[in-house]
Amino acid sequence: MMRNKGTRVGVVGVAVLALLLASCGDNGGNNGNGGDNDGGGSGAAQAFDWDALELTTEPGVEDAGVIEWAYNSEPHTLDPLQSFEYGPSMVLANMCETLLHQEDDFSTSPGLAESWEYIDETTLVFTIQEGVTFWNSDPMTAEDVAFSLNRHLTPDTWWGRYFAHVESVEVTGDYEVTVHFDQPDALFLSAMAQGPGIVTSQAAVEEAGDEYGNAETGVECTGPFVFEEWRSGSFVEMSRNDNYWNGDGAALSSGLRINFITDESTLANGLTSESLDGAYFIWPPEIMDTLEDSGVGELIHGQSLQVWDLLLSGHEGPLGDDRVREALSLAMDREGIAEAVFFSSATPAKTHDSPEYWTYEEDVFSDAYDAFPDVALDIDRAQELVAEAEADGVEMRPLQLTYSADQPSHEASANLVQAAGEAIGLEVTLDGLPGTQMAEVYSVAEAQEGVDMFFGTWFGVADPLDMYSMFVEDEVQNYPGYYDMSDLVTEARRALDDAERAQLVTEIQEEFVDNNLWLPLNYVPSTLFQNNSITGATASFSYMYSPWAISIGTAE
Amino acid sequence: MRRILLRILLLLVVLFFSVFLVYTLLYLAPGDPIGALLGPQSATPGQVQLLREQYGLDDPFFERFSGWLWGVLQGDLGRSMVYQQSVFNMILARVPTTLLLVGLSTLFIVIIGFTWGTRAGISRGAWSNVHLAISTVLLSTPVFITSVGLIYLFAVVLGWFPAFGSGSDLITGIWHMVLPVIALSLPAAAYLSRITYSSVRGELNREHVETAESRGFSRGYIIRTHVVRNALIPMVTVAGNSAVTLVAGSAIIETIFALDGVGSLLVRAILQSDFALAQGILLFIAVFIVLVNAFVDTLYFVLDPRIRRAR
Repeated sequence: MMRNKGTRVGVVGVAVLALLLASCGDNGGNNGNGGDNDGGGSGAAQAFDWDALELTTEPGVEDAGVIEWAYNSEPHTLDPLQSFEYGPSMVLANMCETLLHQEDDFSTSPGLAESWEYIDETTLVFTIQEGVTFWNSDPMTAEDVAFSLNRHLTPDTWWGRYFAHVESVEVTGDYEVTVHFDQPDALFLSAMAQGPGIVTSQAAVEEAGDEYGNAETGVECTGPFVFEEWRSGSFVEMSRNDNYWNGDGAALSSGLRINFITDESTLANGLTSESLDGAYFIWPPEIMDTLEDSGVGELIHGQSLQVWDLLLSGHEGPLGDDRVREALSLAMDREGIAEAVFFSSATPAKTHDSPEYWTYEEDVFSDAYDAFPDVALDIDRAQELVAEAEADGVEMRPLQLTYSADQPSHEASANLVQAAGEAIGLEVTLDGLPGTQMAEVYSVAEAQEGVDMFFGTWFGVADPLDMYSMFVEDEVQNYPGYYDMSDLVTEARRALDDAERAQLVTEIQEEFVDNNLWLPLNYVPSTLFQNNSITGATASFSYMYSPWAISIGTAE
Repeated sequence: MRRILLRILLLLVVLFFSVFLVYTLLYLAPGDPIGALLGPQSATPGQVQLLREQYGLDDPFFERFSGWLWGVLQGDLGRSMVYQQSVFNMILARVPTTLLLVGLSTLFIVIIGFTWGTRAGISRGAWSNVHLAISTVLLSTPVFITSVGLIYLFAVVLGWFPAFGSGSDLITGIWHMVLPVIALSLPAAAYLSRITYSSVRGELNREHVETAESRGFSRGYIIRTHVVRNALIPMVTVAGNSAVTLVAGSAIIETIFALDGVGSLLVRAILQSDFALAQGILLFIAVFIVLVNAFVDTLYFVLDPRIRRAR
């Protein structure tokens, strides 16, 4: 109910705001403060060179034995059905394969599906690879594929949003699986290159029941590494699949052990003492310097799909006014946040989708991106906007910013936002919550009550549309309750034609940016550290979904 | 026999109240396991409701507690909501690491604390001052500082010991345990040596020792039979208490050294409001404490004839 009110205010504000932004845009341009350009020339602030982000590393030469890897979060379960978090995704990536393969640059290629074809807009036929076997030598059949997809159709599963328009999945031939939709869904194929597209053995799932994917049972898949052991609290160990069906994608080294290390100094010590060969997610960024200075390996920043957002939820209070949101955006020192929170490894964000998402119609997205105003700091203008809103009777109650007290990035960002608010006449109160409670704020409507803004690292399937797909009705992530874009987003999601969809997405981007629905702060690269003795790990964020360890081997 | 039965009954009452207290605290603490289950991703209200029903999170407090208790009485510790696994198996998988850590640490504490304290106690002058200084420093240094220092010196610079992990068999397990054990036991060893030191000092000034000296017994004989023997009782008490506090302290050490023990699991279970798992671990720790106390009591019995006679 309350949400509709906010929406109406939004409509009125659009036209005014467009004008305001046009003038600001010029300003920003003159300042030359855009984050997209590398700052190599000046050298002073060490601006991050976004274009220098890597996709992969030099492939290894020979078998390096069992690779000792580290990751900072242990999965709760490895069941692909619940594999949405960082931990399970990066562990499963080397073991369980998806229907489509996600390349290092986030484009897709055939995976367990040899090909796919839309018979009509709501009928998609996958032809699956012949001769694929699970680790236990059982052949992978069309039944396994249909079963794996059908598991997502039982009500309310984790990946449900990508199956929202799937009506049924059925076996239509020895090597053919057909998916029927109730309306076209442009995101479905991209999702098939990530967790939702994992194929697992029907027999193994049925035998294990509730135990499937836990530390005792593990999983049964087709990938280049075979599940060996999961020692809860310690590591998951895998061995090379010597009967791997796809010769090109076979693993070089004989094993991989992913150690779960939550303490940052333990991680830094493990890497510098060379007890560990490598790690993803070098976090918190404070340890990056230690690692770079150690000389035992190389710290690599990879292309990524992650965006660090200030998510605005309370469009009921002062944030319901477009001018206040715009003022807040103008007061955000995105360069400063990149420097203070990510130790200059991140780059200021203009839109919610970073260039990595542009897996189709790149020119269209690139032109649209360039046309958006640079995100320059403009405190004077922000102060004016707040004063204007106040003069028009907007009640300036304090804004509540809720953040995860467990995470230094949240805390540091929260302090910066509070200071920014203060500078323009907005009072921001901080509310630090423990991590698990914070997780509820993201997903449970009641937990969002009284919260005006919170932080989040956002990423989606490799299609810019996905980064805006929550702005529809009946979507819990539509935190501000903004429905004006609902039809446009729905239309884009139905547009299977890339050119048509790209056009629609740029309109969505425009509405998102013009209205400051959320404030994307930084594009955050993925981080990888590799010991000097090995090389070959995937550098991009694709490590979440594609076998990232197959090329790891000795360096010389 | 009646004494023993009474004692067991008392223990059960203590156990009941401690698990009840913990359950209540977990229940009252903000947040529920849904947050841990969801992680950073979001779920529809339908998904959240489904999960709540599946795990009975909306059931009244006493229904949940009695359900859990009934399961325990039948030998079923329940399932971890977050890890989708039997709590008993999860604890069992992690017990060896914690037992090895606590066992080796206790051994280390007893050997170091006892020999060092006795040595300082029987010597005069410089030795005892050095002992006082070193033990004060060790006692007041938090374990995480010691850990980081040890890791830096012995794992990173010298490379003698691994920086993390618990090894794959007993031999590598013990090798992996060297640094954690030292870090965990140094404060307790220093404490035990202080206790040993003062009780040895105390005994040395007692009349029976002076008598023995005047009768011309050798110093070694007096120390062994008249001093150390009598000083053992307070030492055993302190060593027993140390073993109990080690289980609690192991949570920090296990996190720093990335050991897959019970302590680090407990911390995570509490953070994630994983009721069954947290309760199961606390029950395990409570039983462990009870067993250690019983063992210490038995030791008194063996060490001091007066206690034996009093019964």
